[in-house]
Amino acid sequence: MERIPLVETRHLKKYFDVAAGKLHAVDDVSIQIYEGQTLGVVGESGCGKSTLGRTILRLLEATDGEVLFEGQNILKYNKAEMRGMRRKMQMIFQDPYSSINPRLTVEDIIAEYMIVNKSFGGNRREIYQRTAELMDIVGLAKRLARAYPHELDGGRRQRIGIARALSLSPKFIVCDEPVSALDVSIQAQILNLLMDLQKEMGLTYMFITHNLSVVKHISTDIAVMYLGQCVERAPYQELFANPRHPYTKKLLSAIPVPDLSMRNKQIQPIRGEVTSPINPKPGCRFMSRCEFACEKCAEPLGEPTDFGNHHTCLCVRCREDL
Amino acid sequence: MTDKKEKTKKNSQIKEIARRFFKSKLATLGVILFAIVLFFAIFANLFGSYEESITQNIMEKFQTPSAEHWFGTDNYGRDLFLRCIHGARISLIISFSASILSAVLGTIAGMTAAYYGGKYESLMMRLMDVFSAVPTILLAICFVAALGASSTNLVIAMALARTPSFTRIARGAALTVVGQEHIEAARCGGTSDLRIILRHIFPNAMAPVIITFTGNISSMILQNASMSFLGLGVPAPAPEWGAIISGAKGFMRNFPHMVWFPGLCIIIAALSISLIGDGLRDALDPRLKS
Amino acid sequence: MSELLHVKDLVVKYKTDLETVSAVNGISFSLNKGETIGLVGETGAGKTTTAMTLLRLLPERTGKIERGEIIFNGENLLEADKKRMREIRGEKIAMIFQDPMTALDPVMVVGDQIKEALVFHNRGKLTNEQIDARVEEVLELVGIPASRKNDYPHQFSGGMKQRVVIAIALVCEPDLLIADEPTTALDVTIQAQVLIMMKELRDRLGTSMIMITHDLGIVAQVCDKVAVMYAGEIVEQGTLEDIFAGDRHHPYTVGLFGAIPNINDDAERLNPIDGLMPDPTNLPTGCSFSPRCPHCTERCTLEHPAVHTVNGHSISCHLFEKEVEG
Repeated sequence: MERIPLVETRHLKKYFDVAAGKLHAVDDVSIQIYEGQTLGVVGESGCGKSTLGRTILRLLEATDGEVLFEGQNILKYNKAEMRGMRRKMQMIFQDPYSSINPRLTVEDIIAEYMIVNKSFGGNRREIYQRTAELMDIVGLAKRLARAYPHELDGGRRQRIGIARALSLSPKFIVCDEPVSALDVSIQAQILNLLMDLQKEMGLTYMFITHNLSVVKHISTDIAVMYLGQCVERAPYQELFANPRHPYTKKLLSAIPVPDLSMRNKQIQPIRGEVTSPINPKPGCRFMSRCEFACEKCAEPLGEPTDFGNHHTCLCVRCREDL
Repeated sequence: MTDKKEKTKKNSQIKEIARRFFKSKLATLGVILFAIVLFFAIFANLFGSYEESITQNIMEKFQTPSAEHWFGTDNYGRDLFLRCIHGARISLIISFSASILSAVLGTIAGMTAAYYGGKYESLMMRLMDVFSAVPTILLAICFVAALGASSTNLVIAMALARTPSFTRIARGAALTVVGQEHIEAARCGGTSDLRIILRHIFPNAMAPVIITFTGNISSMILQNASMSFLGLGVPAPAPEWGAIISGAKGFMRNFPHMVWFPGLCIIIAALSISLIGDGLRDALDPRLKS
Repeated sequence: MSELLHVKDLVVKYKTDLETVSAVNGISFSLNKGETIGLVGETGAGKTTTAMTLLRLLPERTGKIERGEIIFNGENLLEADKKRMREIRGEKIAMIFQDPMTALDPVMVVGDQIKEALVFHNRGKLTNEQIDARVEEVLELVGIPASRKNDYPHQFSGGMKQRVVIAIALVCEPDLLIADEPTTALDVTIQAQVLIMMKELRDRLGTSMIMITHDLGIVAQVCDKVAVMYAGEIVEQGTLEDIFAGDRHHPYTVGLFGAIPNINDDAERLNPIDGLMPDPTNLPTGCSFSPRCPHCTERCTLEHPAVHTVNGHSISCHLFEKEVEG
């Protein structure tokens, strides 16, 4: 059965001009996100995962490629059309401290989008009624409505961010590391909340994180990014059971697991460090750190290898048994 | 009930700043001095009308301080105390309006430059560089020379000369806010640029502007006096402090009280506001929170 | 094994004219030579304050050590004067900071930064050539070519900077190394490299280590002993096996393990700990975990639990009182 993805990128590229040349933050990324699912995007810092999320939402303008939302290329939309689009796609930000305006009260922060978009015909009373409902949905006590953000802890602030993202009843939400600034016990509360909301409202998430344990927990599909490229993509069980790309394999083995077996586990870390994304050479970007690199790897990359069942891998040797 | 709660919370924030402010003895002294200056400026008419302060009375010229004329009289027999307190009015009004004008212009220029960036920002900042390359007083002189000496022109001249420093400060403060995620969040919700600047950037970037604003008033007082001293400020016979000193400079050797008192007024007014500005900066700066 | 460090009933408060923050409330632990203890806990648990107290680097105006003893190599550090502490810092006890980006001086080449501690603690024993040789040796030790000693910090990547920070800490061969979240600012793959290197160096040099972290995975990888901290107290401590296996645990430890998504199992939902960390300026009477504890009884809200120890595994909770008696 061929389903139409809710969100799809086709050969999406975002380059930044820097002094040394072109920084390939997102380079030829094609992903599909289906309705009601969660695509986890993992990668190390600087791999372009946040840029990808922002380019999809058009908070950054793409250099090339297409972003399809419900089959429509939104990169062609003008300002007014885009404003309508914004209601359908929202974002939850990483830093619970800088992502909300410290000078506004909790209810003003949540109501802001509805005021700007003239929800309920701009009727303030109804907007604030909806705000109270939203606070209830995300688990914020009513008494906090008039509080200022600095009186609240990180977890509650993140709940404000979630309520704000939900205020326009979007279909699709990009979650940019929403729990990485939180303590573990609070992190679990927020993850549970996001999963509950998805179930109740049929939301679709793109969940950006560097934490593989978190991504496994929340995602239906996972995309692994390395230096601007999506090197591997698969349903989460498949990715954890049969990682194909050498980078994915290393990444999975590098996670410290809270288990006694970690004690004597021999980890073979990846050699070296991430190379520069400025003016990269054609060919595999992981090559310089990969123990399986060969001459073929230096040739320009073709289309990713498809293993069926939505499992693709961008490695010329991934069919071999390494 | 919630209303009450919100009020107490907002109050407590202000109270906290006030507490830190009044912890400093110098800042408290500044407030007291400024309150005295302000009192005389506001209630100047209780001591004698403006007309009285500019009406010549040759019979009583060059009197030294006495119970009748607290600060003595000048070469036209005008009561110096009256002239000084009416001068406080003029001085405060001019320096405050010039400061407000330059703060408003600078904030608009600086915050829009920070938000839009790119060519607009470069253009704006280079323009400010040009302004600040000309010495402040020279710029003001050129302006007044071109348009004539009047209080309005003086205010505009002084305000324009000060705009670059406000622009830089407002831009710097706004840049840190623009980089924060809540600005991106606002764009993500479809908020217009104007609303982003007014509602999300300005309130978060205004603290340094306010601090500079207070600090600036005292230099405006000094500048205002200098301009009037040079004859480029408020035209005679208005009792401006700088103008009073300028008028008295020929008689300074024999009647030093004629320069002392207006000079003292300038010092007290400028010093009190400087002290308040310093205290405010310390109170608003969270890094000094102990 | 001989005891290197013994902290007894340490109490640290931050006092300002408005409020008093009870950061560390009577913690005790000991560390033998060559051992690594993990201090685990969430933000505000008092981990970093404990480390700063060991080095006597609390902010002078506000940080007050109210009570306790820190016996290091038989010497009570809380009685040492400033001069003695300067001798100890760097030479006997060294620290690795969380953020390598700010822990290095940006206008000094890394070789000189490593050299500094060596020169300060030298007292005329080493010649200049020997010092330079030692700098190169320690750089190679942390996996940086000695030829890079004349580079500035900005020429290194994050992981390499953290290696430099570690080289600075190790150059005097300290007896005790305090690592405050050494890999939190690094990526997973780099984190793995740095942790493996730290483990190797520790084993080779026989250094004792205090590993401060919130990541139980790192603890499992590196530590011999674990102390779980909550609101300035050690609520549970024991060997790695005591904490990670067995079924006798403080309710907070259980909660902490339940709250992390485990990559090895397929739980649908996480089990977060309800509620928030208590306000350190106003700790609850009785057990400080009681407002969030699923086993809370009336007694827990009134009476502070004593430490109950079985075979070196100690838990500070009323639930385990009977066990010890029986």
